[in-house]
Amino acid sequence: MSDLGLLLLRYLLLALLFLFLYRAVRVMQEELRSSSGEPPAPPATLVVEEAGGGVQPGQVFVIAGEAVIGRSPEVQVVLPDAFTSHQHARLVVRGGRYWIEDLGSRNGTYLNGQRIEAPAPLTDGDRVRIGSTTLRFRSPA
Amino acid sequence: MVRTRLVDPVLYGASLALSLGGFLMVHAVRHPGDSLGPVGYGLLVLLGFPALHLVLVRRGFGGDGLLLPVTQTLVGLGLVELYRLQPAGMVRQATWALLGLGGVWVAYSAAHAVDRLSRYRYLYALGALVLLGSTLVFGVERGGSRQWLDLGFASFQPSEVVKVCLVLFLASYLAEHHRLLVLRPPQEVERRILLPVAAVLGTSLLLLAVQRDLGGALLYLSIVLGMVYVGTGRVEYVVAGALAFAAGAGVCAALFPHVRVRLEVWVDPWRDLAGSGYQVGQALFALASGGLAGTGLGLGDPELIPAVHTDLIFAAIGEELGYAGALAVILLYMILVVRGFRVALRARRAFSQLVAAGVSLVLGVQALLILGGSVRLIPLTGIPMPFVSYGGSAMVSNFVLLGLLMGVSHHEEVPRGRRT
Repeated sequence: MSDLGLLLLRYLLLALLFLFLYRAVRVMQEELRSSSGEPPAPPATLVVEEAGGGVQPGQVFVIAGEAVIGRSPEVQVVLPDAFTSHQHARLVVRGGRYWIEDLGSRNGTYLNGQRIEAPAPLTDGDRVRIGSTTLRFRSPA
Repeated sequence: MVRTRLVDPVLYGASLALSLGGFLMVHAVRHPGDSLGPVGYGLLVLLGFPALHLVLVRRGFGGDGLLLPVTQTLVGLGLVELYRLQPAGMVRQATWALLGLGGVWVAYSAAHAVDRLSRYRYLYALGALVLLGSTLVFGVERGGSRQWLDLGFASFQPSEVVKVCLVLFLASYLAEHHRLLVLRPPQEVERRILLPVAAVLGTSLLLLAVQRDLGGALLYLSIVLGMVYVGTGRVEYVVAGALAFAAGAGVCAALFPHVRVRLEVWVDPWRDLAGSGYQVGQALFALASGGLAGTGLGLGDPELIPAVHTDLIFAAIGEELGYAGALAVILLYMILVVRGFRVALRARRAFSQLVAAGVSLVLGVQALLILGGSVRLIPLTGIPMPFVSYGGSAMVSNFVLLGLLMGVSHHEEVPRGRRT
């Protein structure tokens, strides 16, 4: 390789290194500016289908953005049922749709009858069982 | 708009282009005519980072999107510099990095079951003690300190795995006593907090004395004091622990010539430049000859520094990429640490917060110890430069820590605007 080529490559490499750093800083900056980098969450509800303790069939929980489901009175969707963990599962928004994720609960979270091991995407009409409560996920989108 | 939660193509593109250019430049300067096989292998391993990231995102990963690309850049710089110094070592190191990506996967998945992970606290403590003890019995000595196990096909450095055990044990122990801290009288709390701190402090001083591993002792001490501070918010413990360690280190320096020589070399490497000061002196010459933009990859003489690929790879980077490259490396570590503490601040459970803070501390303190040692800010210790220095045990352990951090960043994030 010629001397000129090496000289150019030398500075190109440093430029790439700082391009990476610039981009990383931009990413962090953007994240600070908009506290949410996600597209807005579509409206959704959880309707109680089979009630465990403390809730009535037909009771509706309105979901706006992310929500934790559990027995603790501090969470967004409170299911006061002995088979529910304090922070049992959560709904998160990724790429404009809802996902259900178990939070290491004792009795697990079931999506359409199957226990979930990893976050799973939700579609309109899915049944989510938490403790002895079954909820139907409703999202018109 | 910059989308941060997904795989960022600009970050990965810049990082891969940097590694590709670096490999080609080193190849053209140092190994023209040799096979390009090692280069291809190194690049393939680096491609594993965005591949892993994509797979994780497919499976719902919504945690920190900067941790993997920043680590990839560090690993890439390390591989390029190793290719320049020891092409065969680079191939081995790339394999360690590949194993490390597997470690990220395992640790990330384990962090899913946070509660279960925190349950095995005494197993971690026991593991750490057994691993450290094994080097006392079966250890082989290298470079004046005895911290390796010879497995025949490879050597293994248990102290690197101890880091992981220590973070998990302390996070679990301090999280357990978190509630106690609020409810019980301070005397009882102090007894419970100070006991393990004193135990680890004593062990690290013992290590310093028996294994002559100054860097390891400093690292363990920093993890313990840092995590106790994060867990209790009380600075007295940190000050008291640091003072006790300084006193102990003074005694060790008086008793053991190995420690004393390191301190003397730090104060004045020029006095015995041809002897004990040679390594540090050569590192300083290398950094100086790098100047602002460096000599160019492959065009400097970092091989003059003894043990450059393990202990002083930062000096090699500083020589060949200059002040600019060295500054960039420091910034990369800063981003990792800042992001790590951000993960800790956003985590929901005490245990996860402490794990994230502990991982950030380990990575940050290691970087600080070895970068500071390379530029003679502090005495040079044998701490490997995280993700960069040659060494398999360190590489895989640091990747496991990274995986824990990524796991916490995904599973433990507070739903936005509703901090409980």
